[in-house]
Amino acid sequence: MMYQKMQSPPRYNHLWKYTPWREVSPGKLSDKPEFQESGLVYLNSESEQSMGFSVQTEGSVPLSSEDIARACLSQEATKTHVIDLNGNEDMVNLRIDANSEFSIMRIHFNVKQSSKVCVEVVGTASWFGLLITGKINSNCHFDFGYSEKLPESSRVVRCEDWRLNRSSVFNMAGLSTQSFRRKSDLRISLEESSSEFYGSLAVHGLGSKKDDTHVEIDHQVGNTFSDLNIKTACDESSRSISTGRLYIREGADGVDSGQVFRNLLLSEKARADSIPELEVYADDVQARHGAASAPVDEELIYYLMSRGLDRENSISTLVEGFLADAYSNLKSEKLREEMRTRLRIHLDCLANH
Amino acid sequence: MSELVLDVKNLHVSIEGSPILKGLDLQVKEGEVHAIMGRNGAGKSTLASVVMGHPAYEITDGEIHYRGTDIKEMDVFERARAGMFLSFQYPAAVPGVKVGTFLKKSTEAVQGDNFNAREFRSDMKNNMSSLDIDRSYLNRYVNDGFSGGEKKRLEILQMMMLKPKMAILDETDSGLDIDAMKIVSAGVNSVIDGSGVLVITHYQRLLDYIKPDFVHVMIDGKIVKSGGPELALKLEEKGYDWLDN
Repeated sequence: MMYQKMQSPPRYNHLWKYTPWREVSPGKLSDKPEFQESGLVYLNSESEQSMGFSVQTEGSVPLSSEDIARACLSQEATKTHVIDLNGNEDMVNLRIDANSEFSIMRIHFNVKQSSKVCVEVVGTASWFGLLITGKINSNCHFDFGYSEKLPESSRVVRCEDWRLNRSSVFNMAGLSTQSFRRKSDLRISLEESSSEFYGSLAVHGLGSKKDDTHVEIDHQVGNTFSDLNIKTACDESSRSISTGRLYIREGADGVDSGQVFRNLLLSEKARADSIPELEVYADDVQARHGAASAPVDEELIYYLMSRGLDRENSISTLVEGFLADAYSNLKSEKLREEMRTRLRIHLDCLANH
Repeated sequence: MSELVLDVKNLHVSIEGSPILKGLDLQVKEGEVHAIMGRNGAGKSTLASVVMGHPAYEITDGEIHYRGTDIKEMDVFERARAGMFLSFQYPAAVPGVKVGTFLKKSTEAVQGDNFNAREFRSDMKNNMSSLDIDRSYLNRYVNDGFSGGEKKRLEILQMMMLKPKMAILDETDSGLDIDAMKIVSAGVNSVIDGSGVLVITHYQRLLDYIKPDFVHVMIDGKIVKSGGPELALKLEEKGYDWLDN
């Protein structure tokens, strides 16, 4: 069904409970905006071949999803960038140029050998939609980092669906820093045994930004592992919502999973909601979860100020440390350092703004 | 003639309406080491915090001058940049902030335009070596998961990097074994020349390694007795009861 003909999801649908579709949809529900494909730019100086990287484009096949965001993205994207990853030690850096008012991009990653990819979205788009699907083949390790530099007034819809095969390891890191309204719906299916997922997301809320991140981890079989770590620092009147749906299917014994949400509130008007959602249908599993929100510790500020940092710089240092720690659980030093560098650049830019 | 670095006159301090310091006088000159001893709750740490500018404390009367300037209205970071340093009794853990990054940020903040990256690296290497601190510390988060001794060493490393004109050491000896105390004391002694140092301690043994010029006893928010190093030995022998009246 065309997404325009789909009903806007009701508020009791937990996925759209906190951020209704109308807040992030491309224009009014009745509109038919002019979508433009975003550009995908390979940034490494080495040849694509030597980096085990190849990309082809093919027509975008609409997903038969009942989810309005996926339906929208798969119907409006005219092509899919199919990226084969045949193994690399160094990070493949990709840039998505989103410069049209309504920019869209669809990518499929086929991870055939252990690889590392970092994506950054840049541009002037007022709305950006990203649909990523990916398959991580058996015994492959895949490190994936994602960040954006879009206008502060932009709206972003990002949907990802990843499938993990036997003994694969997936390190996923995200940094959310800008955009006015953003909805991320990231779904990871651990389809075969001994697959492992490590998710690390850092969100920095400023102004009246609203960031709604939903991560869904589906342990379809036993002896699989997942670890989700989301850290949010909200300033001014920003708001963040993090939901972590952990689904352990019947018979999936031996699953070891955990999710932790931590929020740092930097102003009285800032708000952060963290909602772990656990559905466990197997008996012999571990499913840890925790959530905590707190204002910035004045004693820590005092400590840093006693070393010569002014209050603003002290808080910025604490925010950087707090958010950088989101990446601690990753099993990839290169990805961890890459994301921390991106975070530092973001905070330096803010300080010099 | 040595410069008067810290001049505290008739200092009265309260926290949440409760008076802690009740008319304290203290003068520290350049190159002098002063030790303050006293029972728990006498106000020693409060004095350290107030001199450094902790916002929770209210100065209800009296004056604090640092190198001739009234610092009551100065913010904490301004005091640090002016050359004041407090080694904390319980240094805060700062998760996510690496020691190396923090040292560079704080040294840059304090030295301002005089900061020299090459000199900083050289100082850091030498100071870490003299404090027997492994280079791997630089990649650890500040005080996060540190033992008591490691925290105190890091405090002294920061002091050596920032080269203060007035250093206050709040129970730096707590949590240190004998060997570590010797190393840390050597670090403190290396900054005494040209600085005023105020050592707050419960135990005379620290003063075997950091030789004080003056020892003061605090009781109930005031200095009730001052003397030379022999006073610390007497306190070790007799305790504080003989000073109660």
